[in-house]
Amino acid sequence: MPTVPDSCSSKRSSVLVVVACVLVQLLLGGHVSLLGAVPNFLLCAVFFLALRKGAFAGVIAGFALGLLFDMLGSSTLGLSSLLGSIFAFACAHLGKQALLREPLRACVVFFAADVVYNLISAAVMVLLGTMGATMGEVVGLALLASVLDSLFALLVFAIYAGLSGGRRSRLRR
Amino acid sequence: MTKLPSLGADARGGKAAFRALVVCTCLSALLMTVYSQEGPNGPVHTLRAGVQWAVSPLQNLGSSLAKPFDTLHTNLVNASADEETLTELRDRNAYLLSQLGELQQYKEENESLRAMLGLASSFGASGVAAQVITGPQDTWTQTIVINRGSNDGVGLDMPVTDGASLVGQVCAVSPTTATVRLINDPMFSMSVSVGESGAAGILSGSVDSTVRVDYVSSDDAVSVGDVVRASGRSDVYPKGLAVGTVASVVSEPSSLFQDIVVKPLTQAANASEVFVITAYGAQADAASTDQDPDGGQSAGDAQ
Repeated sequence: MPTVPDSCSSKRSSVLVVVACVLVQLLLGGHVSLLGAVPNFLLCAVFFLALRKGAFAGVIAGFALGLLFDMLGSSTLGLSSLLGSIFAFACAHLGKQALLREPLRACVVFFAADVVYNLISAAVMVLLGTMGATMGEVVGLALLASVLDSLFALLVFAIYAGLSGGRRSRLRR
Repeated sequence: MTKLPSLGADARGGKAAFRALVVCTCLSALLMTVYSQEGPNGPVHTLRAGVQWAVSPLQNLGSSLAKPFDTLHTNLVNASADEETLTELRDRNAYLLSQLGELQQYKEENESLRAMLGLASSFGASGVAAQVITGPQDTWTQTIVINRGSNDGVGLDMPVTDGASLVGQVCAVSPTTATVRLINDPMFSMSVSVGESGAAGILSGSVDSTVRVDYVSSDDAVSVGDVVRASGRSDVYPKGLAVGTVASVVSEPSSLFQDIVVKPLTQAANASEVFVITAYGAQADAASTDQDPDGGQSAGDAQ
């Protein structure tokens, strides 16, 4: 049975995850909310790419997908692209590719990174004067948004781990 | 020996990533600066409007896909409501039961549009009816996207209603879509008058979607249930347009102003149809004389 080269399969899985996240964001991003918190499905793709393809690809994806997220919303343009790049750079240096094979652990790391991302995002918006909020409101909403993001990320990581696990066992055989 | 080249490659990769990060950071900072400094018709704003126009077909599709889930969400919210809300819902249910034969979806839409036309005629307003294609896109802002844009006469800063009360204000426009900043958005503010006393204040939204009226003097008589309306001090909102009712008032002796929380008359983020007021009063009269009565965007054309 012919097998797909690893680099080719890696590229394909990365493209698939990015396309899936972008589509879900465009189709459902504006319709899902939990007590006022709205998910950012694109962060899952940035995290995945940062771990799967390394810091360089992650930073570029963080910038591009962050810019797309900015374009879809109405907050200051450039904020999500800035934070997305930093988020990817940090994740690539703190996490390892092998983490993606353990969906639950990957999800916990993603949740922690996502909370920090959301808190910094809110802090910058307060500093820019585009939003006024108390610490309690910000933390509450940041946690809720991260829960939504992480649930989606868990699904993506589980599918990826299932598929890559199946492929590895085929290769071994 | 074998590790050295790998370390070198890692270091090179790390340097490339760091360089990419610096470039992306600078580009983002530049974008933020240009976005903040340019006007609403600047190139970056225009680019955003273009992207929103380009993705609107997908968002339309998403709106259709999400409709059954939105209904499910509403049912879940109703199921977990408190006693006060349940009483309100029972009253509403009794009212709806009395109109049992008229509960089909097309009929509701028709009634909603008629309400918008009623509102339009009461303020001598003209405008366009629009469907909401997507709700708030991020946690920190409350905006919706509607399926009408500059091609339909929608422009920046125009007020948007749901037929009975103010929903928000247009903050970005593309040829076929417009973004509406809702009244509970942290960046939203407008001049209002409260209750029969007409106490003046500034209504604004917040991150947790609470709507407040600030700067109402402690001497002014304000009580729970008073209607909050547009004051008409600016040309943006028709004078008297309802926004919400006073949900709570706290007046402390040591404070110059009262702390007023407003309950919006409508859950703007859940609205499916809205009405954009393109002109009202003298503006609407001027517009109707400029346009062909049959071809203009008067209240009668909104359907």
